[in-house]
Amino acid sequence: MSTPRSGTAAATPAEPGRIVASKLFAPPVRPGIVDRPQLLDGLLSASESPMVLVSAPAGYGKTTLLALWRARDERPFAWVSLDASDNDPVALTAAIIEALGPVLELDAGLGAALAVPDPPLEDYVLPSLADACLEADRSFVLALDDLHLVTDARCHGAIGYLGARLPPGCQLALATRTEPALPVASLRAHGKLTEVRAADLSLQAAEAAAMLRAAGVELSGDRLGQLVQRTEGWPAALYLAALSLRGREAADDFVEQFAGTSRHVADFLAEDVLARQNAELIDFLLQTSVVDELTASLCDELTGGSDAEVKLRELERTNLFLVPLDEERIAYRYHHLFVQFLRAELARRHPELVPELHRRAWQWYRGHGLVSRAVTHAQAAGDVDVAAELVAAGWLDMTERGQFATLRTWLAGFDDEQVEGHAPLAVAAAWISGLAGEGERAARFAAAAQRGTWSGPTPDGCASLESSLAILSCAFGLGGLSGMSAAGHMVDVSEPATSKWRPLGLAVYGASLTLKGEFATARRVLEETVQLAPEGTPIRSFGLAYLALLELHEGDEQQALAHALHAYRIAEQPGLRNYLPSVGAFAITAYLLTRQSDLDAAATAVERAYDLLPRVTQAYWWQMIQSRILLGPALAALGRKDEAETRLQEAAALLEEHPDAGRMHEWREAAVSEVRGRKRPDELSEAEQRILRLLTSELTLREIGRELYLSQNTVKTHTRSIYRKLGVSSRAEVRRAVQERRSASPG
Amino acid sequence: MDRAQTLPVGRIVVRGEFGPLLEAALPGCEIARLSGETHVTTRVRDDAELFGLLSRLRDFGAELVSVSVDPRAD
Repeated sequence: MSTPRSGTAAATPAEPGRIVASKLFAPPVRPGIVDRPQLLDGLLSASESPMVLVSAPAGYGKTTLLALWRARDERPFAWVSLDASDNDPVALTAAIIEALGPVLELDAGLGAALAVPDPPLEDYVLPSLADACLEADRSFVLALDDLHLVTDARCHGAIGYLGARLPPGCQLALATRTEPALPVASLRAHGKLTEVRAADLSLQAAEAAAMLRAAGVELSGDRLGQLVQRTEGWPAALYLAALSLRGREAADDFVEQFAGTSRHVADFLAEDVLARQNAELIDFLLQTSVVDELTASLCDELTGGSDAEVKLRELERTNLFLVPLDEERIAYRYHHLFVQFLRAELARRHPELVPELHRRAWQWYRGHGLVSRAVTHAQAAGDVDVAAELVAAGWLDMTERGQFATLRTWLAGFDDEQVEGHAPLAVAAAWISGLAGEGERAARFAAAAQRGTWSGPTPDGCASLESSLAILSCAFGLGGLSGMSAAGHMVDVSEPATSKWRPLGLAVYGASLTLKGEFATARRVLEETVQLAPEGTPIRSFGLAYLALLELHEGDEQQALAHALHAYRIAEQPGLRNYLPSVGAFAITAYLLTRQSDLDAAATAVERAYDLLPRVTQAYWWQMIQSRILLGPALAALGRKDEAETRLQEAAALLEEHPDAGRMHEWREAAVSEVRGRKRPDELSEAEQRILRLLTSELTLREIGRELYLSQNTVKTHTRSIYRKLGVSSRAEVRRAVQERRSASPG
Repeated sequence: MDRAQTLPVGRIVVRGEFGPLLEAALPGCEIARLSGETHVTTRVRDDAELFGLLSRLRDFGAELVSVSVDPRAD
C-alpha cells in the first residue's frame, strides 16, 4: 500500500454541499436490488398506522426497504439519513424541517427560529411544525433512517412529539438497530404501530436465489439451502456470499466450506471478499474507509490518487457495497456493515496509516468549510492543536445556532488537560460551560485561559486573548461588579468598532456600569451598544433593557418604559424567548408596566421572565439578582405578595454570595420597602412631596398649580402618581393615608 | 495495585468465531474462540464503556449470546 502523498485534489463546487445535503435524499434504488413484494405490500396496506418501525441489526436491508417503499408509494417522503451530528435536538429538528420543506407549507421563520442561541424548540418550533403537518394538503411519510445514531433524550422527545401529532394518512417511518426511546409498547398495544423486524427482513430461499442471480451466481438447490441456513437469511451475509461466489469456478465447494466453518458469518465472508479484490482496489477501499461520505476529490485527497471518480463508478457498477447518496452520483457511502470491516482491516494491516488518513480527511473538510467533520477527524488523527483551533474558531457559530449538544460532543473529544492547555479553546469551553449554566466549570476554564498565552487575534475573532478573556469575565461577572466593569473597560478600549465582539462586550460593560450606578458612562456605552447591534437582535434588546434600568433610576420613567417596551418587543419574538439574558428585558418591562397600572400586560411580562428565571444560573449571577429585584415589586403590584417576598429573599441570599454588587444592595432594600407597602410619603419625588403637602389642604388643583408655579396638567400628573404610590383614589383617602403614616412612623 | 486490575471484568459472548479481522476491531479485548462462539473479555471502567463495546459489536452484526460483569475482579 502506498503512503498517501500530499493531495492536490480540488473538489467540484457541488461536493461539500452535497455531502451535507445528501442526508435529505433517499438513496436511489439500484437495479439488481432484491425486491421485497410481500414486505412492501404489508407496508402499503398499513398506511393508516401512524408509525412504522423497521428494527433490525446491521445489514438487514432496512434502508433498502424504506427506499423501495418510497419508490412504490404515491405519497411524498421527507427523508433524513441521520448521522452522529444529528444527536443534537436543534440540528435534528433543523434537518427534519429541511426535509419537510418541499412537502409542507412551512413558515420561513421556522428554520430561522432555530438559528439562535437558545432556540425555543419545545415551546415554539415543534408545535409550529406539528401545526404545519396538520394543515398539510396532502399526506406524506417522514422517514428517519439510522435512528440508532440518535441517543439524546430531547431528540427522542422531539421525534415522539411529532410522531404523535401527524394527521391521519401521514406516517412516521423509523429505521433503527435499537429499539428507540419512544412509547413503542403503547403504540403496539393500541394497534398504531407497524413493525418490520429482523425475522421479516431475512431472505427466503427464493429471494436469496434472486439476489445471487442478479450477481451472476447460480447455485444448486441444496447449496442454496445450505447458504441460506448458514447465513440465517441475513441479507448482508448473503450479499457478501454473492460477491465471494461471483466468478468462482467451484462455487459449490466454497458453500460447503463456508457451511462447515464455525467462523462468524460476516467476518469470514468479508475477509474472503476483500481477499478476492486486486491490491490497488483493496488499498482504495481501506484508505477511503476512514470517512463517512465519499466524493471523488475527498477520495483522491485520501489516497493521493487522481482516479477516484472512475473507481467509485466501478465500485458502484460491481455492487461492492457502495451506496450512492444522490441521483447524480456525487456523494456515496460504503454500506455501514462493510465499512466496519474495512476499518478493522485497515487497523490490522496498516495501523500506522490511520492517523495520516484522518489528517488528510480533516485537511479536506477544513478546506471545504465542513467544520464538524474536520473536528472529528483532527481528534481521530491526534492533531489536538488543529482540533482545538477548529473548535476555538467554530464554537461561536454553533452557539449562535443553539447547537449545544454538538459543542459538548466536540469538547468531549478532548480531555480537560488538553482544553486547559490551549488558551482560546479554554475560553470557548468557558463560554460553553457558562452558557450551559455551569458557573464553576466556566470559572475554571477561564482561569486556565488566563494562565495561557496566545499572540494576535483569537480564532473566534477577538482582538487578543486578553480582550477575549475580558468579554468572558464581563459576561459572567467574574471578579464581582468591579472585575466586570474593569474587564468591560478593557473591551471598550481593545475591540475596534468593526469587531463582531464589540456589541456584546459593550452590552455587558454597560450593564455593569448601570448596576454600579455610574450612569453617565453607562449611558454612553449602552447607547453605542444599541447603535452597533442590528434591530431585532438579542444584544440590542439587552442594551435597551439596561438603558431602561438606568433611566428608571434617574427618575425618567416615561423614557425607561419606552426603551423597556422596545427591548421587550425584540425579546418576545418566538425565536428569542428562550434566550436567557432576555430575562432582564422581561423583568424591567413587568416592573414599569405595574407602575403604569397596566397589570394585564405586566402579568404577561412576568410570565415571560418566569419562563427563563429558573434557567438563569450562577454564571449570570448579576442577572439573577437584578431580575428578582425588579420582579419583587411587580409581583406585589399584581397581588402576589408572598411570591414577591420570596424573590427578594432569593436576591438577598445571592447578594450575600456576591457582595461586590454595586447599587443592587440598596435597590433590593428599596424593593423590599415597596413590597411591604411601607413606603413613606417622604419617598415621593420632591415635586410630589410639595404637592402632597397642599393636597391635604382645601386648595383646588388649579390653586395648587398657581401656588407652585405649575400647569394644572402637571399637577394632575403628579397627583395621579401620588395616588398610585399611596394606593388611594381620592383626596380624602390621601389625608387619611398621610395621618396613618405619621402615626406609624417611629420618629 | 494497578488501578486497571481493580476494574470490573466484562464478558461478552457472541455467536460465531471471530477471525483476525474482528479481533483487530476490538483492540484491548481478550478474544477466545470456543465451539462456535467468541468470548470477548475486557476490563470496563463503567457502564458507558460496556455499552460502547456492545454497540461496537452490534456495528459488526454480532449476535449476542450473553453479557456479564464480574464486579469483584482482582
